Amino acid sequence: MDHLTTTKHTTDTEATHTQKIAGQKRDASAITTVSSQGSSASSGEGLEIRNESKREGEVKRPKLGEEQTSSNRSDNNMALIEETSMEGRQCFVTVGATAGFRPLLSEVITPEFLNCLADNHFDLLKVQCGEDFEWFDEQVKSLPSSPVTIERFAFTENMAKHYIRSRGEMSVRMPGVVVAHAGSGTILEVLRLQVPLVVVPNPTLMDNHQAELAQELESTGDAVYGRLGKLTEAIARSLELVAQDELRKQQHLQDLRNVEKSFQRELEQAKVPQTETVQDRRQRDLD
Amino acid sequence: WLISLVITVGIVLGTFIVYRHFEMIRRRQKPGGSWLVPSNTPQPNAAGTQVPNTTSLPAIYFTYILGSGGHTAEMIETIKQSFRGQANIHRRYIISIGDTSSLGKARLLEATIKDAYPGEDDRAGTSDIFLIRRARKVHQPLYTAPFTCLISAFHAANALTRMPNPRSTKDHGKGFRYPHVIVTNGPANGFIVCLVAHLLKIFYLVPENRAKVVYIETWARSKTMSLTGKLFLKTGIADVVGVQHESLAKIFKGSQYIGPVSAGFLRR
Repeated sequence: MDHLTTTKHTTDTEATHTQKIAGQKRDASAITTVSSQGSSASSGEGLEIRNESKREGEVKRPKLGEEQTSSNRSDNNMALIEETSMEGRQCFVTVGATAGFRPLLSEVITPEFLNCLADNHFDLLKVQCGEDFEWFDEQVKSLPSSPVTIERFAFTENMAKHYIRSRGEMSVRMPGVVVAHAGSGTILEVLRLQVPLVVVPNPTLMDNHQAELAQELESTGDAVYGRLGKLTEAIARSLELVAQDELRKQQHLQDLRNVEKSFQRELEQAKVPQTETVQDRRQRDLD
Repeated sequence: WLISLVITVGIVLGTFIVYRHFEMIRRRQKPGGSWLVPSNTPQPNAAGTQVPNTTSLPAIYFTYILGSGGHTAEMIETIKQSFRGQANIHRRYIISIGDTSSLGKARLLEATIKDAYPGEDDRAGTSDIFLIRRARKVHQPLYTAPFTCLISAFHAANALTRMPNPRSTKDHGKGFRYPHVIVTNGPANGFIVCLVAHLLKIFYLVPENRAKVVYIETWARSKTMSLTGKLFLKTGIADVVGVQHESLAKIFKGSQYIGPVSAGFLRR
């Protein structure tokens, strides 16, 4: 799988580097997988529009073909099957229920941000836009073209299933990211589900205490502080964070395995004299 | 003479309230004193810290005030973190009318607790939900606000003094007459409910050792206190002002660091 991703981007070495490490998250999340709770269809979900224009389809198809050729070249068909059966990265943007957050909404559909997503192998941008749904809908429709699919809806009670779609799971999907307003309810729910998170404080809010929380989270390494106007950097940092987290988990697992091995070794060493004593005793009995 | 009578009654009432207020604060045990330390055999809770063992008490009655959005999410998390299955616990949730999302979350939490103790197992305790009127609706003109505040105050008094139905006829029913602890984390309704509880205590309508007010500052605040938090701290209504960041407890005297109770899963 890593081989495939490297063949895709031979020119952009930095991007492939992060991608290559980040890809390992898939294996990790198998350990950390929490049973997904939000499987039931919610009734509150009124407006959900799937925007997959023909143009986007055309953009997508050659990309898939490219993948195929590259993987054929590398003679790695098994990897291709696994890659295509897995869901791609999702970027889920949420502004919460209480207030709108237009600056964030307009930022995520700028060409730079969309290209950044495409470069990092995201294939779906899902946006929960709250009260600005109609405005955002118009903005998306007026976009000339988009390298990723854009889905959008106003609000739903069951946000958990959308968050989980951004969480990496072994041989199910690649880790994505949730870009959220800095409301504590949203942050807590996303972090509880162990989904990579970028927190974007709303600078127009009173006394801007949201920035405080975002800095706190950044310093503890739980989330990334996304600043308006610099969201592409935040996405890259989030992917790095996922990769680091993954490496740490791998290391931890390796340590655990080593400990287990040493235990087994001790057990075997302890066993040998024990069996001998039993045999000795038997012999004594026979004698 | 009517005016002078009103003024006299007002002065007497005012003096009485002020006296009772400070008398109650004076009699209150100092924060950080020995009372927060586990008394009898401590039980370690999920977070690993030690809490007092309450299994042998006849009645434990908590009132939780759920507010909007993030407040509710944090409060639900706090309840989950502090939950231990005991048959002697009653939980009451106070929610504003029209706040369907909080109502749904409270019901979901109770359903989860019930599921954890199926059949005859009564360790899930009992619970009920009280709806009170919002103190001020969005876009409501300001001059009507005092009246609606009064109405919601009456609703709050009702929610604080009404005995829990599932307990009234059972053993130790009297123990559930008034809540032991009121927990809030900052919604507007929370302050009104706590103020009403304080007034009820001032006028001897609720015993002083009941309806203890616990204010938990939201986890989102790490360097500054919210307005509600400052209000609770300054007025002395809250028996405990808990904060979830150590840095905040150092800045605001009188507040106590209680650990990240609404983000417990982040603890490493």
